[in-house]
Amino acid sequence: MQYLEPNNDYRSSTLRKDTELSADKLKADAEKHYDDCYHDYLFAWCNKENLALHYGYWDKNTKSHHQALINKNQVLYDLANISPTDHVLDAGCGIGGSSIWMAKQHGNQMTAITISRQQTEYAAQHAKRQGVADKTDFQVSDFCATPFQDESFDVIWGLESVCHALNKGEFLKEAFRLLRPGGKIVICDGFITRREFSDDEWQDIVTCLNGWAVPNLCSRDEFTQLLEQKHFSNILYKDITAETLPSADYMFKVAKRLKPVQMLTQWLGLRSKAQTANFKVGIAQHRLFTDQLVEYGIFTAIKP
Amino acid sequence: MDKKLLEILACPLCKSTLIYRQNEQELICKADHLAFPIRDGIPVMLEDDARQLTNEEMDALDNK
Repeated sequence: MQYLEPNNDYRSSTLRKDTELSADKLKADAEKHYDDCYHDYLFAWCNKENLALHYGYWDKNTKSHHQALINKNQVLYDLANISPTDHVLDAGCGIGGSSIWMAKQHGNQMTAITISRQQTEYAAQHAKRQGVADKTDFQVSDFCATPFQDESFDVIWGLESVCHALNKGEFLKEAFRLLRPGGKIVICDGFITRREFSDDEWQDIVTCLNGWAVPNLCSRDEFTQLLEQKHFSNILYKDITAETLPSADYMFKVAKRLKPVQMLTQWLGLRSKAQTANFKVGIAQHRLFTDQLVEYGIFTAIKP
Repeated sequence: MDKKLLEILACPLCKSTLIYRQNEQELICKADHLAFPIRDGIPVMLEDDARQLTNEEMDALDNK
């Protein structure tokens, strides 16, 4: 049996044997991951309209992968009851998918941060191309140590980004500081269903952490406790594992289809470590879902 | 740099107000003696990427 401790980095135990990663190196690693995988994501997952680096949301009316990715934004927007006049901080904005969508669809003023400089450049270019440059500010920043005054935002938005924090509580503490009283937080992520895993299960867990540049995961109950500890109120959780599964299937099929290309280019030395790790996730993440080692859902809460 | 954004910006370390230097394209934290670069219009607000201000630069800021 293996045990996944909170606030530890489990990626270093496999890809980087005998090297201790500092918090700074960890950040640099996540940054490099997304920079290395940018073209893979655009090729196999998102497109230049949705720019989504997340799982989609499939309801009975969803016809396509692209639609599911866009749906996800609307589901979060509705659940958090965001209004078009709200100033939103997109914490861990990736290449700007959600921020551009909110600015375009709802006219929200967006401030968006990521620790990857390259991502901010791509995001700013995409925002300009989609005509919302004046409504979106992109900055290179750590979401646990942001460059903003207290009570600067009406909404904090974290779509599959908080998982990248080594210490999820530190992120929530910073988010609480940044919100105005009455402000809302919406967090969408995967959560582990337990902390003990068999050796086989552990392999899949570690493959996913490495491939996603995620140091650790926490459970839904632990995350609820963290929100309570940081004084959030009206804490709600909506399980959307069923609506996410078709996306996990999609990723699995893409990985299987691309396997020959991956093997060949890896052998030729044309794939970076991050790209290869990201490919392996396609298979492993599917087992995490089907074996119910992870669940997927959306937290909303309010700063009183 | 957008005025509204400038109003909410703070030093990521000490959270104090920043000074915007347009010509240098930098955001200055007087308390921490740091200058955060703005590259291609995007503020890079990480301690590792910030430049340490010299004593002369600090004096010049105080005399303003």
